[in-house]
Amino acid sequence: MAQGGYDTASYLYDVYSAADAKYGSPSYWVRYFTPSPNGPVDQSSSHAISECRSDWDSGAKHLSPISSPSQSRLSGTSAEGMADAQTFASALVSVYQWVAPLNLPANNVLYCWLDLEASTSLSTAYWSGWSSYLNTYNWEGLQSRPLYASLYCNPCGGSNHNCSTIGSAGGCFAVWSNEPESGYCGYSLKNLPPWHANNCSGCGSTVPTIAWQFAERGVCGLTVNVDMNEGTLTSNTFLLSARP
Amino acid sequence: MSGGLSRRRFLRRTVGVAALFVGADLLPSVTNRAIAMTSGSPAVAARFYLYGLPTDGSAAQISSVGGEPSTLRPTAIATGLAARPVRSPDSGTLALVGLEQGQSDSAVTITYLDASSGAVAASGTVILPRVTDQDLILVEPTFAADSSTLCVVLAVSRVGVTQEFAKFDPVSGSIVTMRGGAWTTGHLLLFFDGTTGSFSGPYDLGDAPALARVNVVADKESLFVWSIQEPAALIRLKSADVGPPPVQLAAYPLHTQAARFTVVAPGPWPVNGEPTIVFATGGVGRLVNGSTLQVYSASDGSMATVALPGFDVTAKPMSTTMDQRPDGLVFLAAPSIGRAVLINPQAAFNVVATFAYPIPAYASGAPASKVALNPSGDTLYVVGQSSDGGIAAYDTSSGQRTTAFTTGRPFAALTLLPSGNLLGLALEAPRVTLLTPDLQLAAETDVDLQVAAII
Repeated sequence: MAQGGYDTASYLYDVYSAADAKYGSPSYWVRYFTPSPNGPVDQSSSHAISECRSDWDSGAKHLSPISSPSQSRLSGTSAEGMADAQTFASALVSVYQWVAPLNLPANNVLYCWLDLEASTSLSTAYWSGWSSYLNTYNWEGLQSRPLYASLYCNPCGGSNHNCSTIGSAGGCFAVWSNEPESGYCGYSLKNLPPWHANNCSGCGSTVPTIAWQFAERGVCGLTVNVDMNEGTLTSNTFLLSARP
Repeated sequence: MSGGLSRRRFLRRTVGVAALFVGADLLPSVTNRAIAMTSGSPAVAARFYLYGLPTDGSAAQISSVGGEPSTLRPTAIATGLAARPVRSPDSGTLALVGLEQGQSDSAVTITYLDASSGAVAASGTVILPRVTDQDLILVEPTFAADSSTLCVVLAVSRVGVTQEFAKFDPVSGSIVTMRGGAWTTGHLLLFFDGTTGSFSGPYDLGDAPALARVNVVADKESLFVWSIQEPAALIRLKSADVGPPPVQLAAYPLHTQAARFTVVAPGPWPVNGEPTIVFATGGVGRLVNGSTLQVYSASDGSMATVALPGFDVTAKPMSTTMDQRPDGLVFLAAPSIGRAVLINPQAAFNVVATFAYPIPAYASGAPASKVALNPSGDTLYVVGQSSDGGIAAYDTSSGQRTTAFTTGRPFAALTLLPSGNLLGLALEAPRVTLLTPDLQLAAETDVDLQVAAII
């Protein structure tokens, strides 16, 4: 069943009420964690609690994490990728430990997104370093490995196709497509479009596209970015069991 | 791996994926006569450097830089670089860092290029004892204010005992077998003196477990390093009362290991590529959250903050660039919100000018340079607006668009060259375009490189 959600670099407590009222109540929010240039959930324990409280109040209860390292780094070495994944994991653990009712997904599969913006090139070395660290990360030393490396991108974008990069390097479990983004501004969570996300078909990978950002703030003049999935995202996100 | 490394040997290396291309600004200085005179001869064309991934997905073919370039077309000069090259404060030198890892030791090679000619000006190699090819090494270089000393912070990440485990793929329903272990990171310091080709260090800071990423900047006396212990390695309770370890700022006198001071530095973890700066008036700065400038005393690390007006976070992450201008002012631009400011460190960091402009179509992707202010401050150049994808010039006093260069091909970045000319980077091909200050086409060529940075 199709579900809708939002993603934003803004603080949830600043934007969720207006977004809910205007575009509909979300099933999930995608929020930025460190490393990101600004506005991460993890900047303090009180801030993380406030963000999760807003997530709950919006009716979502699910929180999907994304990190947005400096984009020029994504052309770099395995050490660059590993360093950004190391930071991301620390941010995830920090927020998890600060927010009492924030739980790992029941299936122990938490999709962790890397933000790959248009005009940025992803190297196989960077992706290998980033994904290997997350996929093998031992959560709290408990011999549990719930982090699943995933990529937000234009699947067939990039000179070598982003899908080809993750296809050859391996270690990617899901794609969140930011294309197509034109022609869908009239849709919202109250009126989801037919599923039409770009995927890796013909671009060198079989990694599935499981989410689609169909309406982008800048293109559509919105206050948040609007997303949808076909029922395979929320089971792989952080889950709030109560209002923080 | 010991001893000096010849340029030929350095350029032969193809261990990595990133590459450095060089190209030439064909035009003599058009508008900025002072800069042309200081370069020695207006006839000597300046060069620009492109850093990124070869478009064929392989390690780059390497060719040497010729004499005086007769075409705009950039030439590959190095590959397998361990870090993005950095330019010296006087713009005269480009530093390249290479890394060679062995079974028992590793080696760091630093090569200085004369930025004008592309010729090797200095080179040296130093051994990192007991750092092996099983380690991951993150290299963070920065020039000291003397433009001859390169300070390098090396994050050495080492994996412990590895084990094989099965991971369930929820989409395919299959089981994936992986191998991994816990990583621990500590830092080394290294200083290279370009006048003698000698090194100080490596010095082990003994700070493991730390996050690999750091922020760095160096003035004429000290290297300043912002770092943080690895939060996930230290926190063990599900409690809101246990915060992350504090960010620390340490000042190391050049070529030494012992910090002059170490202080707690408020603000976000130093892991996001926060821009740093040495102010002409003294002191150093770190831009955090893309919207707040932290101003530190170089003598004791005390800090004050300057909020940038109107730099508010929106739905997309906001990358802000920070550049020191020859007149001592600091130019900060946030393309994703269409704002820029000019601040004056000599006048209590007051904002002396604000600029608003259309948000570029590719505001968030690499390269980060989307906006430039010309030396006289009367023209603002902005890349790739959604409406036409071109490069536009704005009169800063009126805010009016004065001229534009459009080809129907979207541009992703621009850089203002010392001559006053502009270098534009279009995504398709990709294509490098050289424009005069009034945005007339001077030359253009396709390059075999996905450009991550224009240096």
